[in-house]
Amino acid sequence: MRILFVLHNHPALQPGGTEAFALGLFRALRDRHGAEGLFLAGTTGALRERKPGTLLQAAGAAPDEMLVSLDNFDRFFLVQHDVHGLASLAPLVAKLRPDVIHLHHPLLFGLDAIDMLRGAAPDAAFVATLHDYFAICPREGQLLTAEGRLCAGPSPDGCRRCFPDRPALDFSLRALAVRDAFRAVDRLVAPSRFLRDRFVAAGWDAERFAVLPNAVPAAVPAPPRPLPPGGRRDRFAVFGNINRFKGTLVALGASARLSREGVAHSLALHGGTAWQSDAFLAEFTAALAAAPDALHRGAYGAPDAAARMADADWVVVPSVWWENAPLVILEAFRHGRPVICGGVGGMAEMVRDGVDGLHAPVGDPAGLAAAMRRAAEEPGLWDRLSAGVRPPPDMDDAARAHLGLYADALRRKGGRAPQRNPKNRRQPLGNRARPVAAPPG
Amino acid sequence: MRRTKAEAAPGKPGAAAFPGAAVGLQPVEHRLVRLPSGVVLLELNCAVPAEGAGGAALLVDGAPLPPPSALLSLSRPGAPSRAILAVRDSAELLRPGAACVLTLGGAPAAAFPLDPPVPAETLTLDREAGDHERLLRFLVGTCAQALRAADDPDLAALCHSLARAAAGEGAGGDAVPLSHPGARLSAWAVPLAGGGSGAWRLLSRGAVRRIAPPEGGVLLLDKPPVAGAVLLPPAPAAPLAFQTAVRGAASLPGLATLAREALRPDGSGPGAAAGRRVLPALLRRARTDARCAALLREAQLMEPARPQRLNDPAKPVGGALELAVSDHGGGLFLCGWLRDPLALVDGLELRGPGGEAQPIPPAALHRVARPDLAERFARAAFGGAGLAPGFLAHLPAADHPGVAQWRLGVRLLSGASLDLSAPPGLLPPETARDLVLRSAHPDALRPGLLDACIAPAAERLHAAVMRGWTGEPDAVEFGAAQGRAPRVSVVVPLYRTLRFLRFQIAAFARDPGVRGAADLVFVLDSPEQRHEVEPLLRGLSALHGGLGLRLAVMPGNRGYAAACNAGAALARADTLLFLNSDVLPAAPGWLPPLLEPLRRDRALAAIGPKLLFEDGSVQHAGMVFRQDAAGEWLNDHRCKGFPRSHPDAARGGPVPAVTGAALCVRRAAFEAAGGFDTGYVIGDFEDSDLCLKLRAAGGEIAYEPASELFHFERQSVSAHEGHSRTLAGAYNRRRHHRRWDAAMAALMARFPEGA
Repeated sequence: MRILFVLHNHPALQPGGTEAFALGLFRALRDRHGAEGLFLAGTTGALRERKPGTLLQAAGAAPDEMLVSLDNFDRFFLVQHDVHGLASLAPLVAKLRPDVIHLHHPLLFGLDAIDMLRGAAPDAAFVATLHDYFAICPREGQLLTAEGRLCAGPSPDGCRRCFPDRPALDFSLRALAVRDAFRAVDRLVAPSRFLRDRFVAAGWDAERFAVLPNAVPAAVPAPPRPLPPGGRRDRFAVFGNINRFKGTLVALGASARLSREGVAHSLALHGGTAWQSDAFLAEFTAALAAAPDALHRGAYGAPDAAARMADADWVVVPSVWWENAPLVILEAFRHGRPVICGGVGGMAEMVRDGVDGLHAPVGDPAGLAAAMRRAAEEPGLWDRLSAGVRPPPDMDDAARAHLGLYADALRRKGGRAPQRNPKNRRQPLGNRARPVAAPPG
Repeated sequence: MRRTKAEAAPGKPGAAAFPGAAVGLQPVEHRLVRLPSGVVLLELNCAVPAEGAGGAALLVDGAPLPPPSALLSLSRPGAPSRAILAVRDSAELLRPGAACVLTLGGAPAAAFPLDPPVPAETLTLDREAGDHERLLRFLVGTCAQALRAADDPDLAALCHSLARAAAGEGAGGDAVPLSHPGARLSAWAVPLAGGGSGAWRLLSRGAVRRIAPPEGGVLLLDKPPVAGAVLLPPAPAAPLAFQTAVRGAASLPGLATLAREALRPDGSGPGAAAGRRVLPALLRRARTDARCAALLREAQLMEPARPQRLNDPAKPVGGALELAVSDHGGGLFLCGWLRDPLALVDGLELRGPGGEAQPIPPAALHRVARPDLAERFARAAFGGAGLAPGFLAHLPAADHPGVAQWRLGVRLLSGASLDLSAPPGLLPPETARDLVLRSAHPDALRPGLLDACIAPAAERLHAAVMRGWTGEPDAVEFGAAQGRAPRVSVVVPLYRTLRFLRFQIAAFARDPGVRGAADLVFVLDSPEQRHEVEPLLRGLSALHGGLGLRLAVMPGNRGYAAACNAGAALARADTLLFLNSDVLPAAPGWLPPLLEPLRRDRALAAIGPKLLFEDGSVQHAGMVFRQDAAGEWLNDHRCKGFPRSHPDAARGGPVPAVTGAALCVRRAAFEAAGGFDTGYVIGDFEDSDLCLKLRAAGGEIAYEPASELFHFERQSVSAHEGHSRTLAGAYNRRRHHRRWDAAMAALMARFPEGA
């Protein structure tokens, strides 16, 4: 099977859950299921200088991973202004002759790229995963209002409150354009039922959706933290970038409250502060200073994750928005750590309150502090919840689930099922036979 | 007067005898003048009819005189009849005592033995009024031509005597000096009355010289007239004497001063009036006389008129001629703008310094947008400048060698006209070429504008630039020359960017596969950097154990193609490898795999390696040609931007072409193809052009992925300010397209998936 993955960023340039999952899935399909093809990631001048005379460049040493320089992107309308650049990619796609095109994000490539991809490979099964709410929410795809409240979904009045400077027609125009462009996609993948339901509520057809969970690479679980005699399960850890939406400040507020209440505990923050505003960093520094039992441990790489996890009893996911299907929850479960998270959205769907974690009110330091206090103090709770944790899907599970979806999409298109391991019989350049006329599609 | 061929009547018995004695014919009084050159003038005191059935002929010792000859009849009523026969008598048949018989209409009319010659001046004596001039015109016109005696100094001296005698007869008048008569170039006023059409001649004691006719009563002489020289206008005007002794003649200004004062915008200066009088003659003469052209150009360039433009928003018409430059090939390139919201303008014309105008055909004007004017006229009462107020034009035959500054004439419907000076238009060809290539924004380029306007002007100017390429590269050698015959000559053109040079030479020096096999030639195309490059190469050679390398310094910036060709001419090996200075080997051992296919496959003319961007992405894996939406061919690189190990980039073999950044070619094939074409401006398309020439000669081109080098692309081309934001790229591309359209189409049919 020949696959083309298209997304807005390569995880080697800037880490992110969507990117990491997409690359992991691509490599699993390639290395364990005989697929071959191309991982095509967008990038901008901020990360990679554009090469003269081409939009393409290598991402690293891999022969099947490429970057496309895509500056001039309109994040509101999801439009890439470099139309000639987009068009120049079509021959590359056509030459690849993919059986499956899997789009992982409309950012940078933009909506017109869907048409370009469809046109360049008309027989391919076209699958798109919606890793967040970008397609229905122009506010960075978070369904979080300008005042920081959870948003149930797009509505003319709601969207205008978030974008008071925009005329109302902009929202209609955006919604029409997005829905129209995505009509060319055969199957839509939602990593959570919650996300699917938000899209269906926004007018997308439920029939095209499949819910396929995210996955994390298989790993040897970190052992439970050895407890000294009489010790408590009172060490908490937050994983992920330090920013407002990930709820860093909420977690620090909860820790400060526990300290004031005299609850012995520790809170470790694992994650970097890249791309954050000075204003937020000032708030973060102040909040950290006000929480004597919290510690910022800084950014980490994938190989350090298990070691850092080993020091923690609980993983806290204090995100202030719905979230979708956070990989950090799967990571926690991989290592048998119960999760304390907001009781809403994709988080609540993944973490079962009282079974493998605890739910807390979203964006509420006091509520989170109460849940953490219970976790630290209630005897036997950690052992019960830890035992309730089910191992998360690994990349091979995800690959198998996706292969099933691809086959289904191809069946629905009426095309023949692609051969497994179709070894490419390439001839020297220039001597390749070309059919006199293309066979009727 | 008529010319006769002296021929014997054919088939007449006894023609060889001396018939005069037998028949008892009368003798004829005559005078014979023999010039040292063999020209003989025989004056016969008898009537010879001007026209007749058989004409006149002279038999000498019974035989007709061999041609050529000419006859002048001076017969007229009431005067003694005379005739003058002119012959070129190289065989000296007309010696004293020779028996002559004059036949008229084939019948003998007179017979006489020939008298001894008399001095030439004798012919000026004893003449009727007007006969001096008739004889003179016969001698300088008919006779000089028929006897091919135009350069005969003795004939000239005789003519001069006749002319002085004729001028003394007083009918003609004088040529009066307008400029200093002793200067090399001088202007003379001549009477206009009676001047017919025909040749003007200047007669002096030693020579008869045809000279250019006067223009508007002004005659130009390109050397001072010698004392006693006489001017002979075409008939019926009488000869003119030169009035060199007129009062004040010695203090007259020279022609250059007159021209300058006449062309001075304010018309000031004592010589301005006389200057305006001589200007038409100067301009006409300038078309054929380089000195007059130079004089006029200097007059304009030393005191140029201030360029004018009409850009008052309150006026209903505006315009300017911002560029009117010679294309150095007989044409002009124009750039300007015209704002005419009320359609008051009837037409445009080009005016030279003499005031004469040539219309600018509306079809030759290519209208273009001028965003720079929009703001100025945005709120003008009569309306803005319009969408395309600018114009560009190439007038292929409008140039005048004597004009260095043109003016735009804007003719209004009323018949009135505006007159706007352009800046001086005589520029060095390279400067003019670059102006032409900047005259429109690349985005505004339409095929018609490029093909009909920009390209013809740029092509002529670039040809003029190339004509100016004189001098040879100066070569210096460092270190030890390659002991055994080198396998390859590596030619590296250097232009400005030197930052990679140290790394490149070090990489060559450390790689035994290069050091033992290659002859290294660096060609500096920015000779102003010699003080920097020569010591650097000398030092690097010493540092790397006497590494043998040569530096050729070009005599000027000649561009990539000329620099490569100069390097190739110095090469010592049978294989050439052109490498950009920003190409660095990825690892030692890159050279043998590149040379091996050439050794193995005789059909291969050229081969190129894999080139990588600085991050390892593929920069070049062979070149392909692609057609854009308009059908125009573009050069593209296979696999550009692909990962280094992408299977497509790992596949070697035939490719349509390879880049010049690293191009290995058999020297014999390179030379047979004439090397790189220098007709592209600044540097573009020479490599694909060479590959297509090699292919046209039957050679194959290949790509070799086993040879890997990094290419820090465009570091040198973008350093050339003439290249960015100009039409040079479009010009080169179009030139390449027109040459190779069919060849590229046929070639790409062979490489359907080449991209």
